[in-house]
Amino acid sequence: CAGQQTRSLPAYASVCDVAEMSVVCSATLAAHKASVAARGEDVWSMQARAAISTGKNAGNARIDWQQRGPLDYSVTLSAPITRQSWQLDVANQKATITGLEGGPRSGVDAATLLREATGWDIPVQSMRFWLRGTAATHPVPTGYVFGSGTDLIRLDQDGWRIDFEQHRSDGLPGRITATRGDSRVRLVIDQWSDATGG
Amino acid sequence: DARAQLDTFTQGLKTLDGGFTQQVYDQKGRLKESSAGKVSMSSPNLFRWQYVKPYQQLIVADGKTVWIYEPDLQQVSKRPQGIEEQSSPLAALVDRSKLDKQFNVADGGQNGGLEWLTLTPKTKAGASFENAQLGFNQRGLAKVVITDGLGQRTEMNFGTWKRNARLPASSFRFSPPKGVDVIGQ
Repeated sequence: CAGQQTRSLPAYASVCDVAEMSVVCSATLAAHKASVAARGEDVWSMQARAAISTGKNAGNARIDWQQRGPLDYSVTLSAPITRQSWQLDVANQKATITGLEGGPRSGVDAATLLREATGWDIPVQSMRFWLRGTAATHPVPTGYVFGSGTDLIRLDQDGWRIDFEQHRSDGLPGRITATRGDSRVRLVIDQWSDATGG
Repeated sequence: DARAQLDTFTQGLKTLDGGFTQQVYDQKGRLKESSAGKVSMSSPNLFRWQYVKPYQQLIVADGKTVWIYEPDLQQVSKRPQGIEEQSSPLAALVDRSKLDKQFNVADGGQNGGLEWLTLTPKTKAGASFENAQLGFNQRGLAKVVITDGLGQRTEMNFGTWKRNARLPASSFRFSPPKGVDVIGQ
């Protein structure tokens, strides 16, 4: 199913066309950004279960994400049964992957390193924002859909379509589906905490 | 000793069926996850992992395809059954020749009332973990501890096993429930 499986939107959804933003959409977007900023987005951690497929291969994994500052984070993925696990650490502009055959590998750009090391084409810098139910800083999104209040329920950015569901009262999503062509990541988030595991 | 117990445990073993609890510890030894479920295996390469708590996750290897179904994700992932499954120490229990071919088996001494063997993959290529320790008591295999490439530890504690029971063929087959996306090839 190469096409974008578009989830039908709820009736109360307000679709915002980025080319000509209505007054309501602009106000909702501003309110959304304010509520996200109020949460403090630089130090948090999360545990989720994920199904990742890139057309060629598909797999399930448990994901642990630890955000330790505006730019520093580490992501651990562990597969069931085979216990295949790897960890991506990004700190002061350097990305390192450990746990894969052939030992640690480093690079400047996390997404490129991830693709080269695992074959998975995942926009990990953007995931850092999408996981929190909001848009990444760049490139400029091409579409917003807001649900009730300031919750973003769909985002079109960087060629990806991201659907956010099961929002908590603080706006953090419970389930996320990101698709682009035949790449697809679906996550169910089991635990949020606003401190890192250390 | 443990080696003799591995021999008696795998001797003439065609099917294996039992319940387990599982704990995963991170590199610093902190408990990350704990879950429980059932596992059944049939020689040479059919198996079924059913995680029940805290979340449902079903993994079926039917000899050709590995199916992973997670109701919360409303999705089934499928991929060709490759060497990874074969290289899991548990899967090798129902195919002893494969166990000896794929792993170096060393005596791991006695600890916690169990006698241990340490399995290390002979070839690094395709090995998804550093080593696996098998703990035996008089009932047979009681515990498996797998250390992965990050130094995380997955401990599985088994109840009493049903050995060579007749398992329905349907337990090693999987057909996706209606309305659930099937992803992969």
